[in-house]
Amino acid sequence: MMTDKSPTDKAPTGQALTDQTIRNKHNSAPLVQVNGLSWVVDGQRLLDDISFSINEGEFVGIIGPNGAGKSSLMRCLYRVNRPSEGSVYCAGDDVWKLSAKESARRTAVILQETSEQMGLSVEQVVSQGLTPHKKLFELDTEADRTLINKLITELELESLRTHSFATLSGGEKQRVMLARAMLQRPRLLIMDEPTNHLDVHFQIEVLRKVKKLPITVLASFHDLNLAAAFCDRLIVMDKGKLVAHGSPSEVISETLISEVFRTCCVVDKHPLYDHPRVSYAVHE
Amino acid sequence: MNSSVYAVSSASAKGVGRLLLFIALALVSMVFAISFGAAAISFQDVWSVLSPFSTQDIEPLKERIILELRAPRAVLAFLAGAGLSLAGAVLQTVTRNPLSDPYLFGISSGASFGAVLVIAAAGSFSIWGVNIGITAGAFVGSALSVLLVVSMVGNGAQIERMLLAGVAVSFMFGAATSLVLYLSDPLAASSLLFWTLGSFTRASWPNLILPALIIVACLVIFLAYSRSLRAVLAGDENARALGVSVGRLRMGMLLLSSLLTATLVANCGGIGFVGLMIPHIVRRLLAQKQENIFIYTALLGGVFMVWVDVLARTLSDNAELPIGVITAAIGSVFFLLVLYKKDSRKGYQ
Repeated sequence: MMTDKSPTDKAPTGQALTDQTIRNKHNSAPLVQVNGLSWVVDGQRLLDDISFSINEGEFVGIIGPNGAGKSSLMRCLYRVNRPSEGSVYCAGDDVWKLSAKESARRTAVILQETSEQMGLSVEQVVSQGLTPHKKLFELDTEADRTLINKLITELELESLRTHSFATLSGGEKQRVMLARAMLQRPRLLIMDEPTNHLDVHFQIEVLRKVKKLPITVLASFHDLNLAAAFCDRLIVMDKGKLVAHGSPSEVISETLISEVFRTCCVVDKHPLYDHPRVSYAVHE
Repeated sequence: MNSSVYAVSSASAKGVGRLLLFIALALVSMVFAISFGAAAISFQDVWSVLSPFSTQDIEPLKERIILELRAPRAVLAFLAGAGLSLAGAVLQTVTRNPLSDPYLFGISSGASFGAVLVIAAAGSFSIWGVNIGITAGAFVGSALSVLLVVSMVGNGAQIERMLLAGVAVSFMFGAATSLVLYLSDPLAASSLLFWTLGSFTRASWPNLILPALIIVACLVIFLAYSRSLRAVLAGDENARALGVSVGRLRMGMLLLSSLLTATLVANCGGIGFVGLMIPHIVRRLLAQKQENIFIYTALLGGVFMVWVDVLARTLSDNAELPIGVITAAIGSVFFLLVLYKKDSRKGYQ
């Protein structure tokens, strides 16, 4: 059984990070620290010796082809996949030595797919975000209701408040999940392909909202242009290994995309913004 | 007071009003149910016996019928409906499967088999009027079915494996019960049918204590975990990300549902469809009131069963109809109607 943190569970302060550690822009200790993480299933190393860190307030993207291990890596961070080797620290504590509730108070997750929630309304799904903060029998307080109302207003969900979650469009569902995640009051928000199933308008709208949040974000992407546009830094994965990391301009190159994604492309500067743009060679 | 705070207060007041209405419905239903039966007893007679404020005299025989036969029977019917509906509601929630109920997991079949085997093999003995042998048999049978399901599910408590294991165990115990019935002599077989079809004829005040305590205890536990149970509706991975230990919660709820079902099968035999149907009706009536869904489920399930028992006693002049037959008939028609309505709506779209 997981227990609450003990003094010995603290992250190894001053420990030299490996070469794969992403550069630390800030002087403070990183919020997330992944050290030599491997995940082995049935003798297969699905994640192999991964190390990186994320500073408070950063928006970090994980990119890589299908089966690269992006989702598996994120699952190790929010306590679904227990690492076979190595460790994951969040806010100074080994997440696998925290209680499930304490971990959920620090890390919120927005998954690609959510069940239809058997008739729950938008407001009820949002209020699920209170779960890690409440004890048995503890009811919602006035302060909770105020915060729920504020998030529903901020994410433009007022007209949908009593609608069944199952009847919403993909973009609306994603906004509901974002409101729920914010109600968790986490320090880290993990998003598994947040723009999956969304049209261009909602892809940009959801990521703009996330970008404005005063929070650390780790998100996986398939769309390299969106990743380049919104992320401060990128982690590139292939076959369970971390193969590159750095700012979008440092990471996204024709060579890397050709090697990792086995796709020819042209990388130039975006005509409107200061980040790279990828144009794929789609015709043979 | 701003509008949102006012809206919350108003919603709370409405919630209390709705809850009181359901409680009143349950009490009135039970008092009315007591007045139905072979002996002519009016609603006023029942009221004068049960009410501490009534000064009206009543024949001693009628008083005995009300207090010793019909009142415990009405309370047992209410408890059976409440308990089976609660078991169904919690199983549907933890499996996110609207077809889950104690039958689907083999709990009812296991309990019925245990009870039938005890009656066929050894009869039963009583302590203070409680049939210990049958109760123990039902508990052992349901515990065995849960043990089989759990041993096949493993640590992850995955829903699909749980449901498949439940169906297999249910068929296995169903076959075993049929075999015991087939091998018994005709007289014993007719009394054994009691367990497979359900009845409240053995209701007595001492028999009510254990089911009442277990139902109240389970309801309190379900309410305590209602927030975690709502989180499970979002999916296992989402619930874990919300800080819920899904495997442990699912296993705990399965065990509590087994306890509820075994207690009730031991007292009333096998009654199907209630655990399946009532949670559906409550979700349809009170889709937005998930916070107290278990209380409403228990109350509505209890009221439903009280009236099913009235039907069982009054539909035929000569004999009582088995409870399980009536619940299955109503339940199957209900589901066909629900499906028909859904299809009609699709047609309009």
